[in-house]
Amino acid sequence: MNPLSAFSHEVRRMLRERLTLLFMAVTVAITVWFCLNSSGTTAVDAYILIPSKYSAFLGALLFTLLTLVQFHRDYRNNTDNIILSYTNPIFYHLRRTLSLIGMAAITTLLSSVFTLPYALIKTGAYFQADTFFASWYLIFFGALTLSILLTSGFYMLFKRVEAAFIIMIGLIILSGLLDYHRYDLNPSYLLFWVQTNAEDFSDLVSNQFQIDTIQWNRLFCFPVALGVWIFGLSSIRRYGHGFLSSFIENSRQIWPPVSLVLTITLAGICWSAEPIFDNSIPMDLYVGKTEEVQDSGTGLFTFSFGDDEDENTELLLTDKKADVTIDTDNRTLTGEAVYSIENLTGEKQTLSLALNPGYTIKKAKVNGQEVKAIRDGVEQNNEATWYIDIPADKLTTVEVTYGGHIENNRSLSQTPWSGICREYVRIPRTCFSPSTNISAVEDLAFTWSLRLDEQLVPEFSGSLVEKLDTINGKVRWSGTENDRRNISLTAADYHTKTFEAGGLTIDFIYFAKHENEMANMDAIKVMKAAIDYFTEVYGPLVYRDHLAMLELPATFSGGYAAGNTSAMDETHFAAAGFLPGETDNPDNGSGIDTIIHEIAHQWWGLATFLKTDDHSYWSAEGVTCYSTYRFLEHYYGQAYAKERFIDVWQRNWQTYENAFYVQHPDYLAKLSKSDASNVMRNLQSIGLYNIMPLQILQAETALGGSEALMKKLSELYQNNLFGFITYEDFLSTTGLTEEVLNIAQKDNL
Amino acid sequence: MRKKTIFNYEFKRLVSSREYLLLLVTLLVYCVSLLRTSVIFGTDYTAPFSQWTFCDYLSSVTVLLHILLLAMCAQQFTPSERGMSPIINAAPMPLKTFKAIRYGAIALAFAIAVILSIGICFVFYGVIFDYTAFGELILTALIMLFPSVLLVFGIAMLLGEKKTVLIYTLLTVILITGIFRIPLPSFLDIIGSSSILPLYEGTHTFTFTLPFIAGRIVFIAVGIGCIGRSLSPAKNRRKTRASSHTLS
Repeated sequence: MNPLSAFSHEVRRMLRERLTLLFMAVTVAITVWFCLNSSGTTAVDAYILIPSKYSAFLGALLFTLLTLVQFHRDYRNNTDNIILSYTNPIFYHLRRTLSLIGMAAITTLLSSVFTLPYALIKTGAYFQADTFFASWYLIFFGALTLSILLTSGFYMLFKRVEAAFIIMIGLIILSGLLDYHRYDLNPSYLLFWVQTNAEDFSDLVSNQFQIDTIQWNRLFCFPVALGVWIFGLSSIRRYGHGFLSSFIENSRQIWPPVSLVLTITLAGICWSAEPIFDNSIPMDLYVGKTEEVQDSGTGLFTFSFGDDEDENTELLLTDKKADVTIDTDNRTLTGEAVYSIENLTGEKQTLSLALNPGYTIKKAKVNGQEVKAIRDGVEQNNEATWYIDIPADKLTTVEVTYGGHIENNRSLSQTPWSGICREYVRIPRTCFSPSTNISAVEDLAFTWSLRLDEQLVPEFSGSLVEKLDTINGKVRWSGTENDRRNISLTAADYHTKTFEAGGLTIDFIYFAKHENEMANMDAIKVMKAAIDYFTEVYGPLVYRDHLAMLELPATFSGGYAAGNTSAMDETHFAAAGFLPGETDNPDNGSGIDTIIHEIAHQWWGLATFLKTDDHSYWSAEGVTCYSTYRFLEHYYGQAYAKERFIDVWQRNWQTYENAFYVQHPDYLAKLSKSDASNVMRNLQSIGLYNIMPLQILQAETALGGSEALMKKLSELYQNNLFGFITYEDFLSTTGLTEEVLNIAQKDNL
Repeated sequence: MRKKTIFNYEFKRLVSSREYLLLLVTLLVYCVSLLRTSVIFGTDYTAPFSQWTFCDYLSSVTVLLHILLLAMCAQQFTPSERGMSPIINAAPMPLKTFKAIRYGAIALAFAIAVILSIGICFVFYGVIFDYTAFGELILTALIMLFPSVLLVFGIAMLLGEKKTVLIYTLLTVILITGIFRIPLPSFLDIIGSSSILPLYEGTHTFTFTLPFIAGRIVFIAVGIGCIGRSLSPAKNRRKTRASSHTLS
């Protein structure tokens, strides 16, 4: 019998077996059940991704059992010795494994008969073929295939059905546990072998960054599983020998050991060369050097480095130019940056340039002479440092040509937020041009230009930009910054609606796919009302031209405010949330709170900087939460605002008061520095978002009402525009004392 | 003397099996990771050594403990074990006694896993927090674990006699309940995760709810019933059924 007909015979045999058909039918039924009963943050999430992830878990479990049944059947029926006496066991097990993978493929295709039309109907205009393919064929079918390879590998290795089953159960549980601990342990996305770590798929823009992680996960997991399978195959017991003798006997055919080495090597390469995340050292290791500057209001923290202490004052940056091109086909950024530097010492110096770790400096020139740029091995805060030697000359020009694929910050999360693809570009500040730590002249002008596909509409977080020309389908944008900081940008197929509010022109930039929904909902009315309200009670925003309200993909899971931009993810624009007349709960999708919160940050956090301290929970978050509450009370009424804000703050304050580590701060000393810091961070969050707003409410009562306090806050805002505001400033402006407002002692901790 | 020899043999066979050792190592690694990443912070801001946090820890560990228990139960019904039954039946020792000895060996091997997983937690409490008042915690552990273990063991032994695959089905059910965190009513909660629900509903003083306790009492009764029934030889049970059928 030739190999092909032997394989087709094995497939036919399996398809005739009632047990196999039962396993396949149950797996298909599970996919249908999860499609009908899953929920998610977006339509693609709810009707494609989540059902495929849950189905992958149960599918992996069922195919583990099916594989064991199939591999154990000869032993159970006492036919193994007869069969293996006339057939090569290696090819016999290969046929059986391939047939099982064939069963998995048939199961997936049968599932698709329901999942595809269901996804098409439910997601409608938001359907994305690549997302469907990644979810059902890479995640679900991938999980089935991996479970077949691993189970058969372990079975052949141990020759014990119980041992193989238990190991597989352990591996399935491990994959689930990784998901459960993804935020505290931040495990590598390559390890989520069943369901991958993809989440919060967007309806409105490409999910390519997340699909990349799924592809790399499978690219790593497949050779690992194949390695286990080949190892198992190589150790099939021969002639009654033990493990080692059988392994040597099986290795007489050269291909099993060679394949084993190849798969292990491939898995190792995939692990070390994965291109999506950098190797930034974990936050805990440099926690002392960071400063938390901003919270999105939804739990998303961003950090910045206090680089003043590391500033190189021996060199002075007098001018910087960067010419950047984004290639969406190759998904790379390339650029040339020119630095004019004054050497203040008259001695040779070293210039350090920080770049995204995915970039390389391809060429470096100092005063027109080509020089070597040396990369530091350490990656930190999504940057790798390159060093270039500078001569003793007073004036030096440094030119660098750089570029590459963007790598995301591994130390923060294993969710890729940044990158380049045809439909969506997200370039954080660390990725535009090499930044330097040398001091700069006060009137520094950083002039930049950017070439970007014309179908992508960029938003530059407050930078003043000019559209220069369009050549070969690429638009050239240009701008000038007054400091050495890089620019950041988000680009997609955006539509912009412009309206007037608070004396400013507001650009509401949202995804083109959201056009109909935005027209039907009253988002602009709420935003306009909020901006008008805050302008009236606190004073106008002082911006050069406009304020941008930016819609982000669901992956961001929250929002942020930076420059003159307030941004929030697509899930906050749920129609129900903006149609108060049509629902008892105007904030059905919990979107308005975040939008108003991020708008309020324009006054508190961006136009003024509220300085945190060691003895209070004073920060931009407290005043912003209070402002959000005040506006929503004004807009929706007292009952709504009390339930959504005051009641929640009081509940959380009670939790804080009862918290073990608050009542017994001495126990914090027993913990390690990083554990204590994690405990503090959780409590700090309650302090910032719940206790401080309550303290501000207390101030309101002490001053005789909200109007009096709003006046004081307005005074505080207008007197400190673009300056720092401390808790002491707040107390002196309101004329209150710390004791009056102190409902929770931070310095207990 | 013979009973002791059989017990020792069965116990050694269990604890030196690859399945037991593998699961025990997995269990201990999981316990350490739970202590380091979850228990240390305390459940919902309670003390790391509060009964709430301890219950949370135990309910997380219970899934793996049940898997370990079921794996040991399944070992009693492998084809080779079934093949040995004519020899065992022919032995002068009553089958009931032999089974009881095997149950004892399983109980001891399982108790070691439980003691280690609780012990590692107590060592953690002692070393990190200087906390040594374990009396209440031991009682909590008994209420959390003992009834559900008795129930799972009893059902597994009863089902295993019919078909080994039924034990794996039970294991799968427990696994799915654990992985997907399927919320069970307090009186049916074999995992024990509902024990901390009162905390999230605003109760700060630790107490087990009445349905939870009632469920535990039922678990013990059903568990003992199942174990008792599984101890009697299947042949006798069939005889009893047949005679009662004839009488009616």
